[in-house]
Amino acid sequence: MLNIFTVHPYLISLIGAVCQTLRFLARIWLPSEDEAQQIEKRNPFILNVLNQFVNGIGQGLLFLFGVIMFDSALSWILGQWVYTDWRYQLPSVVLGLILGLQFVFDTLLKKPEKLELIFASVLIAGQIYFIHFYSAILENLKDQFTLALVYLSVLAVCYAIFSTVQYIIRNISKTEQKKQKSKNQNQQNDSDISRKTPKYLWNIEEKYNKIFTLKWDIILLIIITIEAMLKLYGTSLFIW
Amino acid sequence: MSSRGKSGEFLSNLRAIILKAFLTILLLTPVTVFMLVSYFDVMNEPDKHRPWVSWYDDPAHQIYIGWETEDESIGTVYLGEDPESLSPEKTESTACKIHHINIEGLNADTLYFYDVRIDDESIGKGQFRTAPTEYTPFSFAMTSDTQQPKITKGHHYRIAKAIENRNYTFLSIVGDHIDSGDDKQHFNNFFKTASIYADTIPFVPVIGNHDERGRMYWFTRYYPNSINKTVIPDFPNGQFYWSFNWSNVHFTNCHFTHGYSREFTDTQMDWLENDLKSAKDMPFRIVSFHCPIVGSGFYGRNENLLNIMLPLLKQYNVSAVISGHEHHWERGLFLNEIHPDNDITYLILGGGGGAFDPGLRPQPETIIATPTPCYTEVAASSNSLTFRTLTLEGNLIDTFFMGVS
Ligand SMILES: [Fe+2]
Ligand SMILES: [Fe+2]
Repeated sequence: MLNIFTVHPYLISLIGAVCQTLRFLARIWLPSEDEAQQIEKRNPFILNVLNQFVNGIGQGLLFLFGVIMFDSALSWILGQWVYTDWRYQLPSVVLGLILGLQFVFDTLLKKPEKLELIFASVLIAGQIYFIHFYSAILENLKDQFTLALVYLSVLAVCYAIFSTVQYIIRNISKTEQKKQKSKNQNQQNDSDISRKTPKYLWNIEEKYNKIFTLKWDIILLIIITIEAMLKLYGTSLFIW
Repeated sequence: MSSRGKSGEFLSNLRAIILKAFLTILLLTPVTVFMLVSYFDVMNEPDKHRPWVSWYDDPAHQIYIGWETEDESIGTVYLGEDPESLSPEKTESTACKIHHINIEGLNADTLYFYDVRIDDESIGKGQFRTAPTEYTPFSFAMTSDTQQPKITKGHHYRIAKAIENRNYTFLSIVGDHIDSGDDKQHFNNFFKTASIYADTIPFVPVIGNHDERGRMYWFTRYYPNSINKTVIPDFPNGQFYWSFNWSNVHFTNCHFTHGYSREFTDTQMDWLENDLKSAKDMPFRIVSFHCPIVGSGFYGRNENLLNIMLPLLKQYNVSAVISGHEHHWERGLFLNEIHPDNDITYLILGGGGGAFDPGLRPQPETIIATPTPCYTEVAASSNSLTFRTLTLEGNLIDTFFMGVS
């Protein structure tokens, strides 16, 4: 065992079930992508900025919990714990790998720009440092969990600020483009506009959406909710 | 917009909201039902419990049988070495609800059968073995923190099923039997689950911080093992410490639930020192208390236990120290500078039923740790103890061997 703090797979199923339920609640109550675009057009700019910030906090938390889940599953695979209780742990580990990756890609890594990728890397590095190494200097884990909540909130706010600033910059450039377009209605300026659209390092959105469909999400929700309930009875999907 | 258009929009909005509300209810119902069913399951057991067995300090010749009835009643214990011919051993003198019949003058190393009867109607049968006076092989089980949080049933039930037919001489529960010591419903739930094994496996109770809530009132009503200990302001019902010998092992059970300074009373510390002194010729000495000296979970390193208890354990050459409190299982080692041939193994047995620690940070003394449902069995031979920690499906998590030092 390495003498560092590691989140245990036991927690994955509980965090995963809560996150997946909240994702579905958001899906039910928040407007769809098309509706959101309509609302964005109707709303004043400041309200859209505020909306982006609140959304950013939710997205940030999902990203951060995704990292925790993936990191915990990986720690188990790398042998931080014993393997002989695999029937209890393995379902959480598998779900941690799948959901952890999905949360991280869903929020930031489906089609990242260079700046976004740098930001994601900094967030992940900060979180890994806090989970595994910062905890070593704390007296007891009770302090750590209080601090972890503060730390997670700060990182989520950072995420929200980052996405809000990006939203503002994109909007300003869009407005400039519109102004320019109205000044010079010719082919040359059209190509200028295309140059100013975001440059993604990769774009797997289409493929991603084909794999991680609504059906997939519902199946994962059912599996992880059952696993979380079984965990609270000291059992798991692999124990029958 | 015409009024028909407006009402059409209103209706479609209303339909959308009703659909969303329906989907929300659909989404949240399974978890809510799960929690409610667990809650009512945990909190609605009757005040009626089948017999359990434990003892004070001489299990070779004395045991007590406890049980609980909903109404005040007078019970009789029938006892014998042949289950087919039990004879009346003792009848209570006054009617009560929580009963204990103390039986003395038993033969050592003997298997006894009992039947508890009220108005000649059996309310529970069982068996127990008295301790041997010579070194005889035996095996016992240990776990801790069987407490059930109200919103789930926990897994004490699964521990009970796993040990049910294992013929352990006794089960030591190192604290936190229940979640709220001041709420009788929690004890009802505990004894209902424990009745799966309590007819064949006696209890060796150690007090935990959750057990002592409500000034230890209910805990000491069910387990009078530590009666007549000095009453002091911090502990108006006394402290729960007691010890006994079984074959070649001396068991010392102390009252350190948080490791707070107020728990290190002169009375307990004097008793402990005398107890360890008197057990110095025993091949093995196992000391149990709820709060671990060090642990990888929530509580980390306890300075009081490190500074006061650990030197004492080293001085009196204790073989192993057993704790709970942190909700994971852990084994580690304290180097013993006073007796270098006998480093002290510590175990944390928090895999007994409660919700687990969400993560661990191993201490320098930690050898192995994991939050998983498990219990530990110990096989004692004349010159060794073999510890085996098992998952509830029977997979071996860890094993280690201890010879006489
Ligand atoms: Fe506990
Ligand atoms: Fe405790």
